[in-house]
Amino acid sequence: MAKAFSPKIVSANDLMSGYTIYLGDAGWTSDIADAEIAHDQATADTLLAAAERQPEIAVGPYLVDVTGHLGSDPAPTKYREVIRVSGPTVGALNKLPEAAEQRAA
Amino acid sequence: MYRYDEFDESMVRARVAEFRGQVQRRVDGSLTEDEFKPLRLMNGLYLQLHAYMLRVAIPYGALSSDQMRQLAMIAERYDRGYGHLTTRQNIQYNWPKLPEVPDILDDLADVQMHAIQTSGNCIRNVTSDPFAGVAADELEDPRPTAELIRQWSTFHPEFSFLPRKFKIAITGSPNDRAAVYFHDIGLRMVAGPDDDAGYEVIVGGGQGRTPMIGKVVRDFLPREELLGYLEAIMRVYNLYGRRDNKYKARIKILVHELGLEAFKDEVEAEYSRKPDADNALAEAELQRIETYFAPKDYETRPDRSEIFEVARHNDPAFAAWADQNLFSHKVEGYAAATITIKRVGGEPGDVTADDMRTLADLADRFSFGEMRVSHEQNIVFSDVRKDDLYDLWKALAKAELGDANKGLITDIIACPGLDYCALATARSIPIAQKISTAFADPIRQRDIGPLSIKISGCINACGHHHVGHIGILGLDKAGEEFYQITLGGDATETAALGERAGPGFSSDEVAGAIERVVDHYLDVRDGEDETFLETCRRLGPDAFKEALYAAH
Repeated sequence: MAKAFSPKIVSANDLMSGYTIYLGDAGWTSDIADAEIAHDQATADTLLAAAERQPEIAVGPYLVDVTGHLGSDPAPTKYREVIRVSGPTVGALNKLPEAAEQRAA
Repeated sequence: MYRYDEFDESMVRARVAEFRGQVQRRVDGSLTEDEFKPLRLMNGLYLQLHAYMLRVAIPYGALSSDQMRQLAMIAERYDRGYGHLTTRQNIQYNWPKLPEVPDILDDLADVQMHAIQTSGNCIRNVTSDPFAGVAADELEDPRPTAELIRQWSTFHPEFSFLPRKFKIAITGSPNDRAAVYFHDIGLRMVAGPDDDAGYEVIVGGGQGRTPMIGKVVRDFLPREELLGYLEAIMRVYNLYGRRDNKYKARIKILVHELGLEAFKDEVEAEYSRKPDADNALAEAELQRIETYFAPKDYETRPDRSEIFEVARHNDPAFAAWADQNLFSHKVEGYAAATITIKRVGGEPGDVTADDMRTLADLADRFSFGEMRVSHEQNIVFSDVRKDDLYDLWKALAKAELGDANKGLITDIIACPGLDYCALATARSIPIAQKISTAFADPIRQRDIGPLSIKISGCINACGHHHVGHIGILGLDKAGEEFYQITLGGDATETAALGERAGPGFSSDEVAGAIERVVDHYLDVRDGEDETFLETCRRLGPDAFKEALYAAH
C-alpha cells in the first residue's frame, strides 16, 4: 500500500536577511501560519517550482513536512524545522526575527 | 603582534571591493545563487538555519584591544549585540544581513581583520597555543611560524581548491594545548640532534565522522625547510586526495588508505624535487616576522608578588580564581590569565559587545593591549603583572567574567548546534547549559578537578567531542534529539579518542547521566589527585557503564 502523503509547505531563506520564510498564497511570508499547504504531491511540486522561480527573494527553497489539516495552521514534524519556526532556543539576545521585512508580499 | 604591511592592506581592501560587487550582482539578479554561493563562502559568509553567519579570522587567536572594540561595534551595528568565539580561535556573527556584509568587511579591514579563508576547501586559520610566546614550559614561540604559514597559505593559487578544507595547528611547548594530533597537519617545535630549531611534523589527524590521531611523518624537520616540506605534503594531498566523496576527502583518509610509509615516501619524493633556493627566502621572511613578536617591554620584577600573596590569602574567591585560571609565565613577576566565557547556565563562547569592550579596556590596563582567543572558547590575557592580578580579577568579577572554572567541568566546549547550524542534528548549547547549571557549585567543581566536557551537535565534531574527557554527540533519532556519550578522550600530547559508552540519552537525561559518571569517578578515584582522565585510563571506560546506565 502506498505510504500516506504527508502534507508539505515550501520554506527557504530570505535572500537579503537570511531569515526563514515560507511560501504563502499571497507570496513569501515569515509567518508559518500563512504558508500554503500542499495536500498532494502534484501541488507540492507546483509550489516548489513556483518558489524556485523567485531566486531574487528565496534562497534554497525546499519542501517541509507538516502536520496540517484543512483549516489549521501547519506545524513541522521534524525538530529542525520546529527550531527554524521559533528561532534559537537559547540566548536572551535572540528575539525572533522581525517579519522578514514584509518584502515577501 | 604582527602588523599588516601595505600589501596585506591593499589585498584585503581589493577583496572587499570585489565582494561588494558580487553581492550587488547577486541582489540585482546577475548572479544566480549557485554562482554566488562559492564566492560568499570564500569570504566567510555562510547561510545557516535562521540567517547568514559571518566567520571572521583571528590568526592563531591573537587580538588587539582595538580589534576587540571594533568587533563590539560590529556586533552592535550589524548584528544582535554579540559574537561567538569558535573552537578554531575565530569569531562568528550569527545575524548579518547580506547587503551589509561588505560594510562589515570594510570595518574589519580598518583594524587589519578579514574573513578570508574561513570557509571553503583551502588552508584555514592556523591555530596555536593560547599561551604562545609566554608559556614557561615553551621551547620556542610558535607564533612567527604560524604567521609565516598564514602568509604562505593566503590566496595560495595551488592550494585554493583542495579536495577538502585543511587545518594546521602548531605548538611550541611539549605540553600540547593546540591539539596538534587532531589537525590535518600538526607541528610540534622540537630541538634537533645539534640543538638546532625545527619541527616534528604530524599529518592526518582529525575529528569529524572518521576521527583519527595524526601520525608523525618527520621526526625532525629543520626550520628553514618548513614551507618546502609543507608544500610537498599539500601537493601529494592535492594530487591523490579523493574528490569523488566529500566524506573521504580529508588528508586523514589519504594517509589511512595509502598507509603511513607509502604516504611518507610520496611526500619525500615530492620534497626531493624541491629546489633548496626557496629556503633562504623563507628563513629571511621568518626572521622579519619574528621582529613583530619580540618580547614585550617587561619590567624587571621579583617572581613573588606580595600584593598577590596577601590578596590571595585574604580573599578566598580570588584565591580560587588564581589557583584555577592562572598560567606560569616565562618572565618572572608576570602571569597569563584565562578569562572563561563560561558563565553558569550561559552559552559557551558567546560574548556580548559589552563583554568585548570590558575585555578590551582591561587588556589595555593590564596586558599590553592584547589578548588571545583559545580553542576552548575562552580569552587569555597573556602578560599580566602579578601585582595587578587582584585588580584585574576584581574588575572581571564586577563584569561577571571572573569565574574560577578554567579546565573544570563547567568550562565546556560546545558547537553552535541545531540552534543555529544548518548541518546540526541536535542542539549543543542547551545541553552545556543544563550541565553547567547542575555543576554550578564551585566547591563541587574544584573537588571534581580537571574535567573537559566537549559537545558536538552532529558528527562533524566542531565541538571536539571525540577528545573530551567526556564527549557528547548530538544526533537525530526518529525526529528526536538524542545524545551519545564517549569517555576517555584527550586532545593533548597523550592523545586519545573517547570510547562510546553505550546507548544514547534524550536531552532531558544527559545532565543526569553526566552526574552519575562524575559521582562514580569520585567514588572510585585513587585519591584526590587522580584526575577523571587518569581514573578512566586506569579502570577503562567500561568501568563507568554501570553507573551511567543505572536507573536508565
